[in-house]
Amino acid sequence: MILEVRNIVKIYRIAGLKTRILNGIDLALDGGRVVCITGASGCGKTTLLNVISGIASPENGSVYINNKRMFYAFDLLASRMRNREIGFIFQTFRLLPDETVLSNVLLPARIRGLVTRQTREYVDELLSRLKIYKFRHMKSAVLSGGQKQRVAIARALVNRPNLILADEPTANLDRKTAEGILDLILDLRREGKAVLAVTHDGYLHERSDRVYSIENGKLGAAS
Amino acid sequence: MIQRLKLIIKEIFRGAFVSLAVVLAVVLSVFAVGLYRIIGGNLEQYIRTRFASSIPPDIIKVSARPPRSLFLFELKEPEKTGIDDAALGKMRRMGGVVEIYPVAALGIPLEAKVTWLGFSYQSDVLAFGVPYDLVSRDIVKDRYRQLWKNPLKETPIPVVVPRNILRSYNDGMAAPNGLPRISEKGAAGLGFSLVLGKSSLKSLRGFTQSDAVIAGFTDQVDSLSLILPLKLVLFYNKKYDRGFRGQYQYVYVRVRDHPSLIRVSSLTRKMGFAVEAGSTVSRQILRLAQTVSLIVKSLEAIITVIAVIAVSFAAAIATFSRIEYYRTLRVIGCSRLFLTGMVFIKYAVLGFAGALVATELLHYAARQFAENFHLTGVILSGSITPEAYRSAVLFGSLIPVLSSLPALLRLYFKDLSRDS
Repeated sequence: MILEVRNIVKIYRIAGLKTRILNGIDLALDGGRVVCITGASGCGKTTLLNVISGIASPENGSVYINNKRMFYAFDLLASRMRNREIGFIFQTFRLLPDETVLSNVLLPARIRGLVTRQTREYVDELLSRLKIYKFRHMKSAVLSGGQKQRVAIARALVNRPNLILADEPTANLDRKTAEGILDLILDLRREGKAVLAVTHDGYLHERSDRVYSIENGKLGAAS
Repeated sequence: MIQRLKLIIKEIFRGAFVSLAVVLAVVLSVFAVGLYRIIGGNLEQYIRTRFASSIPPDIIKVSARPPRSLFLFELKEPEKTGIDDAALGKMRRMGGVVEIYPVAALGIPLEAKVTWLGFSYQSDVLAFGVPYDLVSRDIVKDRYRQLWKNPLKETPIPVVVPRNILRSYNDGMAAPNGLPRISEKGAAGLGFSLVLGKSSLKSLRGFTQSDAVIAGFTDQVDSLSLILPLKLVLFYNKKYDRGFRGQYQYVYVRVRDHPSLIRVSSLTRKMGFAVEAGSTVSRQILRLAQTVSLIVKSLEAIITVIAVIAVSFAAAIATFSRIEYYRTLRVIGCSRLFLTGMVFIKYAVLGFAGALVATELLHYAARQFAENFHLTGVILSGSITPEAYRSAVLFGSLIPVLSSLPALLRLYFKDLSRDS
């Protein structure tokens, strides 16, 4: 099992009131599978991804990635796990606009402290596969939305993680470009990666292995 | 490790505009504080040099209390009122004392014989012995200085004459008696004889006649006695008086500054000695110097606070402007420890560079200030002390580092959990 989420409880204090945004979430995800999560705005989809990636710590419950437990109390361990075991794709891409495509893609590897010749070859291969190789020396600020998301996907894959978390990866893209990006994400299934995507995109829903919905902090099958 | 180092180096040069703003804030702040400290320091120095150090001098004259007297004659001096070696030791150990110069009277009869161009004159004289350091600047030749240091091994005996004697002779003796006036320049090096142990009234057994030379003139000892080397005086006192205990008539105590002058004066009075220091004037000048110092330091504190605020704001704004980048790094796996270290190194480097530039500018400005700004009688200092230099570099580096903390804390504990 690549991802195992057990009884996650996350409470936010909003305007002095405690709100259980996640109330006992259980989830398991194996390699080669794509799972989507949907739900109304503010239902806790992004929070769940943050808890899984160790960015936010839950009040209760535990997360295992590749059978390794996420230690929220030890930032060094949580950060290392986020860097090596998880690839993150964001709605807003989160690229460094003044850096080149190559530099952006290599950033997780630099943080890991491991940029070898093999890494560079792998990056070239990723860029070619994602059809952005010719842009590799261009600054990411000048790219289109679709190209930026491709760069973000390459960055998410550079440390060869087994788990890919995608948060509304196509929300800022037009339909045609969005479908292209979603196809790329679906392709990751063939490489044995586990993909957990928060999205309202029906195109991905139709092609994913399972679609869940978060309602009142609980995870259930989407209608 | 190399990759992480590359990230840190890249971070130092990222956001060039805001980084430049931080460097400029540090440069201006360190320069402003430094320049003010130099000007303020020189102003204090001016006050001290012009007033506090020249009126009165930084020397205290300590003498034994005069013994009680009965009509014309003094009663026998009690032993404990004398200045002996133990008392000298106590004075030497007082805080603020730079040097002490004991003065001992020659306790045997002494006669001086002068023969010059057929004119012969002999007179009973008094003599004091003083240490070399007190009169070294008044001795005119190196040869006489050597003689002063070894008076028991070599002759002639070097003799320094108080200017009071010369003035008294020229004004009170030469003119009324039709004798030639004597100039300092002409008299220096004049040879004569000293008879130690003999006067017109008394001769001691085994008295000694020795050649002597006028080695110079002095104002250091305000007396009508000849000034001889202290070693020589102590030797003859001991030779003719077996019970001699090494007592001194008075001691000149050189102190570091005026607070020391007042403190040492008070302590020596408590030891039972008479003190002459002109401390009333000193207290007034001291109060003036303290007031000036207080004003200078208050203004310096205000400038420092403004400088710290300017640097802090620049660094804090610079860090906040990079917060999105730091958030991205966190989300893709950068630990708080590394991120904090990276930001701290960045601002330490920027601050250090700014402080270095500022100190170089300060060197230049201080030199210009010293060369072009004149206060009568005072040489203005255009130099920066190593301590001030270290402070500038330390605080120039430290303040931007500390100022980056609020933005980082906000990133770590507030924003990140709600944002991806």
